[in-house]
Amino acid sequence: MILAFLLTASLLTQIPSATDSAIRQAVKDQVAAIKTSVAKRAFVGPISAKSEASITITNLGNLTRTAVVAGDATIKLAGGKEGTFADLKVGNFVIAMGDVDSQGTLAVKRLLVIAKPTPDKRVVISGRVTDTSAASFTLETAKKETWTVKFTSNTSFAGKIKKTDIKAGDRIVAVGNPAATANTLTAKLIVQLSTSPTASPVTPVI
Amino acid sequence: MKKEVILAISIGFALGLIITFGIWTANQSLKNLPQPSPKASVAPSPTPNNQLANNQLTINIPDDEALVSTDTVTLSGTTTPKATLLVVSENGEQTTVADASGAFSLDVDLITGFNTITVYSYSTDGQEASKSLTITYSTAKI
Repeated sequence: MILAFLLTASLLTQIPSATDSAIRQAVKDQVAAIKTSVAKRAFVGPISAKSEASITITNLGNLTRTAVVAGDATIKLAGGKEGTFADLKVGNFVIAMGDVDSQGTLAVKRLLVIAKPTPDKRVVISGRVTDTSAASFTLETAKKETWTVKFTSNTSFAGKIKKTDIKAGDRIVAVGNPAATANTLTAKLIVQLSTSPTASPVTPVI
Repeated sequence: MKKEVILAISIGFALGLIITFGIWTANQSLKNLPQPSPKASVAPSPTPNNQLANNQLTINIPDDEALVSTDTVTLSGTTTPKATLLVVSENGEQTTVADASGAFSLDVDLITGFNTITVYSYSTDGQEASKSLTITYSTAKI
């Protein structure tokens, strides 16, 4: 009998630890989930649809986002004028700020209608240098396109290199603005990449 | 000793054993319960475009579409070891090199409003990956 009681007592002391650990883990998970699911977010892009109390925004990644605009949300129209939900139109370019829930829906706290931004003209091009001259490099990209990268006194070179350090065969990446001539870039920044004899460069363009 | 006393002790001992066995079984069952996975309750990311198919570049922070109240954001992530990274932001271009484990981190200045930040990673063997984020900087109380 005593033995049975001792065994029972011993096992009873173990049960709360297992249960507590599971509860603690569950609470931790819930807190993490809440932290993840409720976060400050800003959806940027044109309004692609509007319903009674919400708008759909097509963001810069071309994904649709839903934003609920409650009556207490601050709405600023272009020029800084206060606005209401009724003032929002499909096609307006907006920044909607607020808290996003676990479904990805934004509860808008502040919404700005802004002018449609001009696209970034900068181009990023990478490839292997096939020729160099006093004012430019010729690059061949992975797609076998030939680009002329012009440099000026405003062109900077990443690291401690100079333009004369770049030779034919080097792999570089250049950022700059496109020139009037096709496949020509006036470089703002040139980066000499680490090279490999077998490397096959690829070309991103933004 | 009376027969009834012996019987009572035997029944008590048997009951004690049964209860002990029951508790032991319950305890084992609790231990064997599957632990809840943290991922099971985490909401799906609202930024599916952040996941690169080739898995060469991952931005850990900040999240895409993050709203921040400071004019600088620390951008960190992982890519291939010793890869050269080019970060093109509203304020200009920056470069850095990932460490031997592929980790990188750098501060990016933001302009007021929304900022498009594109990160390019160029590995030493010629592979490339890129990823874009939209980060909004606002000092307004949200």
